[in-house]
Amino acid sequence: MIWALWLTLTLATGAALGERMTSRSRSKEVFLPGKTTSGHYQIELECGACHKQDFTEVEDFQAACVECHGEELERVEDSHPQAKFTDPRNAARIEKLDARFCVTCHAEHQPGRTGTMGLSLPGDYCYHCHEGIAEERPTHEGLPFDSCASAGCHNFHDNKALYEDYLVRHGRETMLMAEPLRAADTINACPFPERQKLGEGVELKLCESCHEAETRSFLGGRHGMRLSQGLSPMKPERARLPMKETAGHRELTCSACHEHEEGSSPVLSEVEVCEGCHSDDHTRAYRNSKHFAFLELELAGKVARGSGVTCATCHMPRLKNEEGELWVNHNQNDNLRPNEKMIRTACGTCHGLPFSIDSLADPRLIANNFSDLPVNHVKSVDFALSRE
Amino acid sequence: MTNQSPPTPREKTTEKQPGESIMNTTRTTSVLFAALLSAAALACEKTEASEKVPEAAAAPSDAPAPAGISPQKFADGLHEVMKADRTIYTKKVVNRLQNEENVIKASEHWEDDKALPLPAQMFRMGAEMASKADAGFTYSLLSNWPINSQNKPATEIEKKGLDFVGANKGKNFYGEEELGGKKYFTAVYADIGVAEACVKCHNEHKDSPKKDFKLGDVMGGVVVRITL
Repeated sequence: MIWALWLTLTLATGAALGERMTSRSRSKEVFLPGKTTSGHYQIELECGACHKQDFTEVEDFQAACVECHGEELERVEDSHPQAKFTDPRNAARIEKLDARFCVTCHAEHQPGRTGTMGLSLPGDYCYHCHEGIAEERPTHEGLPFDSCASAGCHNFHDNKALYEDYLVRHGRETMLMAEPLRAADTINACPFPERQKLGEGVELKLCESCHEAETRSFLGGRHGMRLSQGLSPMKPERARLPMKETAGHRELTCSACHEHEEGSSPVLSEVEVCEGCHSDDHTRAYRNSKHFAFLELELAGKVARGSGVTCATCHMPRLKNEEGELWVNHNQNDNLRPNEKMIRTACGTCHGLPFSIDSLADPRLIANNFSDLPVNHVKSVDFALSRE
Repeated sequence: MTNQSPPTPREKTTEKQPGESIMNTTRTTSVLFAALLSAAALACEKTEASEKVPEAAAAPSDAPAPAGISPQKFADGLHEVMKADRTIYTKKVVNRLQNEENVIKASEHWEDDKALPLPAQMFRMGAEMASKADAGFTYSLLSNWPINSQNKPATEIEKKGLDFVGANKGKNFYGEEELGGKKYFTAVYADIGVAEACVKCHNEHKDSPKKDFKLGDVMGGVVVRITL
């Protein structure tokens, strides 16, 4: 009798877990080994997105990481590409830090040891290979061993606005450029009748037929990554960032933002659609910022087009492709984490480099949406100029 | 100077550790190559230095039929292609366009500056791309006077090899080493300043530890590693 009961319970438990394993409902959460990072939690129940074949082989994970992040790493000229570490001459180094694999530094489901940007290592990881830097750069003598990538000076991957010669070239720029460099180009609303189909559920493929770059970047960012995995659209109620309760049910598709353009100023809509959902300190402080003050002046016709700074100015910048065509990057993360990514595509169009670096390194300014001046000064530019 | 030296008797005995790579049958192969090419070896003035290698050993008369090529032959061939491409890019592209015709600059930050990649960068980009193919070899450009300190010799063979090719112009350096639990045949070839662009850039760079290079100097070395 006991054996029959045991067998029944075992089979029932197995069947229940099996059903959960194959479902796409939240009940699958029981299999998560720990809280997923902010970068991946939206797709955490699509286990196969990362666990391609094996749950333990780092090579398997690596292929999954590169599938989503490889293109960006190449584009930003990753300062520590995998090839540096697969070179046998660096074998001694990978014994200290096996940077051949992303998961060495970005372990997933490890909330107890994971910090910003999914880093699951202590902040002294640079020191393993660069401990003798002060011999080459006396300016670095005595700097805290965990400050390389946390003080606004260096990043492990993307240093396109931080490399030494860039600091030298732009190191004497003033806070505000005399002539803001932001292109006044405006992407007009879609003029085709297909636009009227926004909200009918077929928009992603329809929009992609003309806006390939925008759609691809959208699917790579926080708004579209669930769709990229074949999941239902992201909703604000699933977000970890503070969102407006009234917007919780909205679905993040093209129409969620672009339907709003109807009847509104195209420039102002770059603010209103974001404010429709986002409710964090940075967003709520925006209308008290100088960035918004310039937008008001632009809307009143008192300053040149392009002088105002909207949410999209910084978080969905207008870029030019290799053919010189304008496109809008819809992947916010391409331009946000680490936030020095924003220097070249956003801050640097109006502000000098030293001011931009100082501002982005100040958490207080990020919270108040850059409503006043940075208090602390990042010395990287000074260090670079002192060697000239 | 040439690096197309034939395998020497020394090299015949370097394959002491048959491994899993394409080179694992090269012990007998190299013996045969040495026999076939011994005349050429005698005619050639170039010699090689070696690490961990005993004196020449006679080939056993009942050796099985050879297959494949020796690690040294493989490394020499790879390096010859690298040297040719590197020399042509340096002389015919960078030196001509930058130093002779003043058409375009070469810059370390060639994308930002809309300029030509420096010859050393061109070389490294190729090395990184080739390494992704996992083709059984890697290569790098090192120097005792590197602009980037990460490119100074790190392993014992690299240190000895760079010192050797610097002190023995026209000669290569060969050896074996174990790195990260794997065995490698490692060859070091002199890298010569072949154009004014090489010498000028290194002598003027603020991070260069040596600022008196002359045309024709050994400025560093190319290290080719073959997985054994």
